[in-house]
Amino acid sequence: MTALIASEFSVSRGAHTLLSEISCTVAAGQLLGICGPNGAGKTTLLRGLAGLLRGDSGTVTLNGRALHELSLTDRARQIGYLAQGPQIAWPLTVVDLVALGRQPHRVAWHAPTPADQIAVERALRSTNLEALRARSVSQLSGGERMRAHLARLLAGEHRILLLDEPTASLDPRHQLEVMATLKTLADGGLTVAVVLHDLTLATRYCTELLVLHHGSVTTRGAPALALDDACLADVFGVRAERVAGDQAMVGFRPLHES
Amino acid sequence: MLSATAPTRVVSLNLCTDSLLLELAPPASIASLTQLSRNPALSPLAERAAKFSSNHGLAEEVIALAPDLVLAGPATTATTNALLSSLGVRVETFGISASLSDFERDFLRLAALLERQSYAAQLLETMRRNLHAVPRRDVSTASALLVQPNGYVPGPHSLANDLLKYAETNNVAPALGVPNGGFIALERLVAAPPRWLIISAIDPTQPARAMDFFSHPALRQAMRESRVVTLSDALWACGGTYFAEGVEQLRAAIGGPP
Amino acid sequence: MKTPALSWVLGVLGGVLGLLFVIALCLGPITLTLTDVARGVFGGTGATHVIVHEIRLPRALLAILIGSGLGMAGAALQALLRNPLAEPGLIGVSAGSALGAVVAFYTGLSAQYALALPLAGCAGAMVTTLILYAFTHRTLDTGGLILAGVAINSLGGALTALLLSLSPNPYATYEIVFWLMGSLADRSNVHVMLVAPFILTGMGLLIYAAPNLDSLVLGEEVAQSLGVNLGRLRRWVIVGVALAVGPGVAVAGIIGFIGLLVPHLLRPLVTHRPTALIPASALGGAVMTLAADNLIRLFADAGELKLGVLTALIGAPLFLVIALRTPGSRS
Repeated sequence: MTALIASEFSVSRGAHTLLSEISCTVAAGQLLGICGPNGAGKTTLLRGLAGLLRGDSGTVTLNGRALHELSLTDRARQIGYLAQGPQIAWPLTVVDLVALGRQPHRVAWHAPTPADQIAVERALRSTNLEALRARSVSQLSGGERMRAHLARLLAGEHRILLLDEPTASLDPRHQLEVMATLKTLADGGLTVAVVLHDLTLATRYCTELLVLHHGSVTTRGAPALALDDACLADVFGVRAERVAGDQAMVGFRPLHES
Repeated sequence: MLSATAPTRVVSLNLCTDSLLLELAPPASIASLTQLSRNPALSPLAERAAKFSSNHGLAEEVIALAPDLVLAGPATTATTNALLSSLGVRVETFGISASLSDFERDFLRLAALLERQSYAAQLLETMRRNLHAVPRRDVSTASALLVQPNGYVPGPHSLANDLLKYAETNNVAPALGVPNGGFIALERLVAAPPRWLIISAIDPTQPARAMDFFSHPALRQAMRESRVVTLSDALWACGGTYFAEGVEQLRAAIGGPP
Repeated sequence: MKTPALSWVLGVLGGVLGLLFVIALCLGPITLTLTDVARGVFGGTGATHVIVHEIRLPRALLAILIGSGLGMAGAALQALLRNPLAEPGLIGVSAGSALGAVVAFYTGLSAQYALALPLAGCAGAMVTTLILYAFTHRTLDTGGLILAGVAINSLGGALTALLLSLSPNPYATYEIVFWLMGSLADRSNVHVMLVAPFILTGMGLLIYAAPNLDSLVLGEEVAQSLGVNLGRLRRWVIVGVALAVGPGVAVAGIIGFIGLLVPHLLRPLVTHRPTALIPASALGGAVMTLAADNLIRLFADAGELKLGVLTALIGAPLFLVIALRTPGSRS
């Protein structure tokens, strides 16, 4: 079982505390949603889980071993990370971008192995990008570009996937597609954690939610329980509109309406 | 013996007019010379020049000295000249001497201004005697080239050429691609090295990129059968009645008649 | 990953370079036949040998060494700073090298220790690259990068001019032209020996860093998640650039725009990937520099043009075009 465990993990910048003693488990087969208002520390937590920053205290372990004891290559092979609003400095073709996901597995200056090529093909297929493989990334639409970055992540064949706002600035259809893909991967046994702003998506697709507020965990658990009315009011300052029989919310209202 | 009408306070703003003044004028009538003349690397009369007050060629300094005659060179700006003239100061401008006869003409011109014509004539007579005192020899055996830093070769109408002529050498500049002066190509020098290479620099001991030309291995190899003489520009660049001494020095370095 | 295109490009560039090299050995005010040249290269004595071996050969070799260093450094800087306008001349690295070299030269240090000259060039390059990196690497802002480069260039040029004017050497103020405009004239095999080890080492470092630079296209965070040690990568590139650029400037002055033009021209052929572009830019830089120098010597009778002037004449207009096309430069 591949488990990423944060234990009393704290991060501060100068006098400002970003995360205070966060403990959480991201287990295999799970699609963990990390939610919270702006500035709650979601991205910081994700970066900590990915090993991209060191906490001031506490640990992050992967299958019992502290992240920072692993070599960079080991860590890179097991954990895949997708940043918020992914940038690409040069207009690569889709297939070249996706192929970058294989970097942790490749030996410098050697040609790609058959395993590399298969992984890239599989990633292109699962994101429906085969027809666009030779197109320059700069010529793609927003949704297609996001899928290309997602394909890069998938090509790495990581056991653990950490994604920061993969649905931001996507239209509703593509948002649903991305989340459905992630859910399928989690169901297939991968460990997936996603930072999400969109609570509707979070409640619809995630198996478990972690709600952060001012750098601490306020609630944790199944979506319906974690995002109850009390949490929504205290943390997010809104009321939910729910549809009977569906755990997902369809809309939000201000707390106090005149 | 001073005439009543001769200038009594003369200021010189140029290195070469400094030299003229030092040679011709009674010391009491010299009000100021340029800073440059105090540098032995720039003037053979440096010791003498140090006894007088020095200026930096600025109009302000000149006015403060209240001269009745100012000697300016080609480098003195037109603005300074105009300013001084408009203030009623008498300015006499001297050009660059391109030959010994040019120098003699300037010498006599200053002498006329200072009313020291007979004295000047005496000095020139001595100089000419010294110049022609040396027995003639066949110049074809003494091919020479005078090269300044960066590989610059003075043209046929120059004091440098006169120097070579009076030193009884054959200036091979025309045969080496610089008939009218200019920068000589190292290759030409290597292909047809002169018997004597005269390196003339203001201060041959100072580190200057310009001197790199002379330390080039190609030049060293080409000059193995030839001789190199190092000479300071100060000996001839302004002409001067000491020109004859410069010629003598060069002759001595090159060696007597075969 | 060697695509068919890369091998082809490298092969063609190599062939062109070889041709230009032969031409370089045949060009000069003294007319020599091809046989003369061949004899001069491989031995013999006399004027022909000296001309070919001591004058033309070092000049050609320096053009190749310095040009490949500049081309590669440009490609590496563009990959590290994720900006198509980064190149040693524009962002002030060359100006820093020149300043270092001037200090070493006019204090007489390089007369005592010959190695002081290329090392001072490296030191100057290193300091300016560090300053630049500190200011600009967090943002991908083109405007900021160019402004920082302008500032460093101005400061470097001013300090160089100041030092030269303070030098007791009377020719110093005229030599500013050499330092700022670059020239390969009258260089010798001594200079080649002086710079070759440094430039080749620098190029080796940059090639070594290339695979990690591939990942950097996705940003520092993702590159880190793909296994890149960012701190080490930065150090490799900064040191590599300093070694590849510094000594060349110390010996030939500032030759600009090679590092900008070559990667830009080769990118459509070999893709943006540093593992392809960095090696290709080395050959491309050598070709461009040697071609420019040959061109200058072809028309030398008209008074030899400074190499840096020629590269600027071609490079500056192209820089303008690239700058205006770069997203983020207009707002």
